Amino acid sequence: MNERQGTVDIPGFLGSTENMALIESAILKFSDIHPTVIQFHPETCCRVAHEWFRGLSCAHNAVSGLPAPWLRMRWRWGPLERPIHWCQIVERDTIDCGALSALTFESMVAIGEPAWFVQLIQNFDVGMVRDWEHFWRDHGGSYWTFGPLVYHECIAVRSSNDNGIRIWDPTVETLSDQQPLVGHDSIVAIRVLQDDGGGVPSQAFFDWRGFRLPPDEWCVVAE
Amino acid sequence: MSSGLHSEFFDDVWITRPWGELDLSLHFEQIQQRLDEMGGYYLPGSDLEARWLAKRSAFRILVPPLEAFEHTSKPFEMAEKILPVRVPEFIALDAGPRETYNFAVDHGWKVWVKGPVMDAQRVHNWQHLQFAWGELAAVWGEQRFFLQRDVPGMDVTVAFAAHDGRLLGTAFMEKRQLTGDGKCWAGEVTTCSPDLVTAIASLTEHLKWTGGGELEFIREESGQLWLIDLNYRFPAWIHGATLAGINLPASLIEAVSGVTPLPARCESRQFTRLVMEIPVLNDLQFPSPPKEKKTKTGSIASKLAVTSPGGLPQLMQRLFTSENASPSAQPDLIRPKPPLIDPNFEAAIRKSVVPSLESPARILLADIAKVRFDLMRDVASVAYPIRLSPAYSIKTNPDRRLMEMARRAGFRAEAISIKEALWAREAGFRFEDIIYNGPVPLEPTPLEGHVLHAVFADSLESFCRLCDLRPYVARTIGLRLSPFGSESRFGVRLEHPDRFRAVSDAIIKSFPTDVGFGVHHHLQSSVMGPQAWLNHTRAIVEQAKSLENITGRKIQIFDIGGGWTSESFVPFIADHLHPLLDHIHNRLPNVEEVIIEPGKAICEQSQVLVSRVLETRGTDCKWEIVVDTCLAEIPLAVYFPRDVYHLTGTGKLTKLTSGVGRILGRVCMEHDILASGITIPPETRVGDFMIFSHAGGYESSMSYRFGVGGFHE
Repeated sequence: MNERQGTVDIPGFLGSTENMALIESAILKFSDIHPTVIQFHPETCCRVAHEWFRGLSCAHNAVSGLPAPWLRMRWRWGPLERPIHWCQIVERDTIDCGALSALTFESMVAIGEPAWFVQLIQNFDVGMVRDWEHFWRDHGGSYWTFGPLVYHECIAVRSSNDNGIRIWDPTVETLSDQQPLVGHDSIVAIRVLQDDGGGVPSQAFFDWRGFRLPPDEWCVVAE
Repeated sequence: MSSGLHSEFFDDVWITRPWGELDLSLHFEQIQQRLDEMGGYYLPGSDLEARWLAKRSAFRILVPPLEAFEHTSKPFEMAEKILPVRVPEFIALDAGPRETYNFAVDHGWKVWVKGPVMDAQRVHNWQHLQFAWGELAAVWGEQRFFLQRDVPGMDVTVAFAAHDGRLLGTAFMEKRQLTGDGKCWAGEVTTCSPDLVTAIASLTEHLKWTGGGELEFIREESGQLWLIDLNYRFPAWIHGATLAGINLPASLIEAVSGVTPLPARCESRQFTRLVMEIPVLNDLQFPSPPKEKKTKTGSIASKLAVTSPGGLPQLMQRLFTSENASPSAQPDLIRPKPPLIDPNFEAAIRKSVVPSLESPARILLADIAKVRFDLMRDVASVAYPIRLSPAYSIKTNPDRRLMEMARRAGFRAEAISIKEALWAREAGFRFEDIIYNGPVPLEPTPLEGHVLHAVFADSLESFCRLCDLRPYVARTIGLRLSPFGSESRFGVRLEHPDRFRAVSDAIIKSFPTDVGFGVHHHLQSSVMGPQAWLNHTRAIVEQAKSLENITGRKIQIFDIGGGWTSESFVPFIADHLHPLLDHIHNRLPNVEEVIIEPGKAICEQSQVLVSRVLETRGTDCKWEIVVDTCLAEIPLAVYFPRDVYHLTGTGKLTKLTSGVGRILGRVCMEHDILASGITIPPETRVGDFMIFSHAGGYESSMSYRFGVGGFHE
C-alpha cells in the first residue's frame, strides 16, 4: 500500500511485522494524547494576550502572505507544562510542538484559513530519542516517546484539490510534503482531527500525498 | 580551490597555463591532437570555454553551435517563447538612470545586476547598484548589463544532453542543501514532467544543440518556473544524476560514438557532496602561499573575479574584446531608446532657463508642479465611503509658492515642528487644517489656544502627555505606529506583548472621550517598493484593528505616507489607492478620514537645478565635466539618480544617455560627484547649462551653504 501512484485506503502497511507491531504499540500509547489547547483566564489578561497574537498573525500575513513562520523567531522549542494560558504563553521563551501547533492553528483562524490539528508519530534514531527524554526528564519524561518513535503535533492546511491537505510542521517550519516515509526523521503514522477544525465543514476523508486519511483515526503511512 | 587533479580516479592529468596566458590556437590544436590520439570526446567545463570551442566547431568536441549562444543570450526571452517558463522582468542598465532606478523601486529593490553571459549580484540600493555595475564593468568592459527582479522560490534545475538537436535525456534536480554561496550541496534527482521534456526537446531541436546543458529555474509555490540561467555544458552535479540512474554523459557519448554504455542504476534519488582530504601527487606539489594574504576587495563572489586562478576573466576578455565579438545578440527590447524629452518639460525649461540666468539656480517649474496638485485634488474629490485628504509635507519643500499651490488644491499641511506649523499658518493654512507629527513632542504654547486637525505622538510618553493636555491641542489625537517588522526609530512598536498591553492600558485609562482617535503610519515606498509598502500598510491596519478590539476606542483617522517617487505615485493612485481605502473601510469601519501624504511624489519634479559647465576634461578614457553646483545644492545626489539635460548656447536641449562619463561638483570633496554612468555630449562647451531634474523635494529643503565664502554676523 505504499504505492503512491493513486489514492489508496488506509489503514494499510507493507512493512515488516516487527515494525508494524512497534507502530501499533506506539499508537496505543499515544492515542489518548489530545492536541494542545491554550486556555483563557477569566480576567482580561488572556484576552489582551490573545488579541495581541491575533493582530500580529494578521500583520505577518499581510506582509509575507504567511501568518505563522514568525513563531519560531519568537519562541524556542523546549518543554512546556500544562495547562497553559494565553497570558503565560506570550511571556515564555520556550514552548513545545503542541503549543507551536496551537499557536499556528490560531494564526490560521485569525486570517480566515481552514486548519486542522494533526498528530504524527515519527521515527528517529533511538540515540536522539534518548537525548530528548533526558531533556524532558523534569517535564514528564518520556510520555511522548516509544523506542525510536515519538509523538509530534503539526497542523494541516487546505491544498488545491477538494479534500487535499498539506501538513505544516511549525516546529521545523517546513511542509511535510517531502518528508520521508521511511528511515530517520520519517513519518510513520498520522491522525488528522476534524473536531477541532476551526469551524470548517467536516470532511469524510483527507487526501495527503496519495493517502486517503479518515478523520480522527490513526493511519499508518510508513513505507 | 577544490582540485580534483590529485585524485586517483583520473588516468592522466593535463595541466595548462591560465586562460590569459594560453595561445588559444595552439591550445585548440593540442586538444584535437589528444582527442585524436585517445579517440575520446571533449566536454567543456565552463560556459566561456564552451563558447570558445563553439567558435572552432570540430568533431569530438561536444558543444552547442555558436548560433545557440547567440540565440539564447541573457535574459533568455527566446527560451521563454519555447519553454513553459517565464523570465523575470528586467531592464537594461543603459536604459537611463531614472528608468533603472524606478525599475528597482517598483520591485522593492529585490533585484540583481547581471552580466551579459554570467555573473550576478544582488543589490539593495542605488549606491550598491552603481558599485556592482562598476565591478562587473571592470571585468566585462563596456558590455550590456541588465537589472532583473529577484524571484522568491525554490532552486530547481534541469540537466540535459542533446546531439544534433535531438534531446537524449533530462534530469530534474531539486536542491536540498545549499552552500553559503547558494551552490548545490545536496539534491534530489527525478525525471522531468512530460511537458517540460517536450519543450526542452523543441529548444534543443531549434538550436541544433549538441552537448550537455543546464536550465536553472526558480520554482514558485504555485509551481511556476522562472528561468534564471542557461548553461552550455553539463552542470557540476551531473554525477548526482548518474547516481539516480540518469547517466546523461553516457547517453551523449553513446549518441556520438555508437558505443553502448553500461545500464544506469539508481543507487539513490538523492545525492550529497563530501569534502575529503586526499594525498597530493608527488609531481604536482603545491607552491608556498603568498607571503601576504590576499583578500578580496570587491563584493562580487564571481567566477570572473580577477583572483580566479584559471584566468576566466582573461578568456572572457579575449573572447569578447580582443576578438571584437559581441557577447550576445542583444534583443531590441533592452537596447536604450533614444531619450525623449517631455514637451511640457522642455517648454518649462525654455521659458525659465534664459542665457542671462545666474547659476547655480533652483528653478520652479510651476506648470509641472500644478499637474501633481491638480491630480490629488481630483482624486480627493471622488466620493468614497471614507474622506480622502491629501496633506502637503512642509519639510519636503517649504517653498511658499508650492505651499500656496497645495492649499489652493485643497491639501492639508503636515508639520513636524511647531515652527513648520506656524509657517503653514503664514502660508495661508488654517490651524484646523494642520496635522502635526513627531518625533518632537508638540509644545502647544505658540498655538495660543488654537486647535490643530490632528496630532500624532511618536511615543507612548508623548501620547499620554497629549491625552492629559487641556484644552485639547487637536480634534484628533493619535499614535504613530512603528513600521511592522522593522528597526525604525519612529513610532510605537506593538510587536511585544508587554508593549501592546501598555499601549492598550494607556488608551483605556487616559484617552479622552470627546477627542477623535487616529493612527499614523509612514514608510518610504521608494526604499521598500510600492507592493511592500502596501503590505506593511495592511499590517498596520491589522495592528490598529487589534488596538480597537481591545480598547473599544474606534479609529477615526488613518494617516498614511509616503516617500513615493514621483514616477511610482501615479500608478499607485490609479491601481492601489481605491483597494487600499476599501480595505481600511472593511477592517476599520469607523475611520472617517484617510490622510495621505505624498511627500516628494508631489514636488520632486517641481524644480530643477540649473548649473553651468566650468570645465571639460578627458581622464582615463572618460569624459568628465565640472559644473558650478555641488552636493550642497543636490545633497542626495549619491542616494538616487536624476535626469540630466544639456542646454547649449545655441539652444539645443538634449537628455544625457548612459555611458562612462561623470559630472563633478565644484567643491573639494571626493564624493562631490553629481552624476556618473552618463555620456557627456562631445559638443559640450564651457558655459553650457547642465540641468538636473528632481531637485524640488528634499534636494531643496536639505540644501546648505558650502564653498561660497563667509557671512556677516
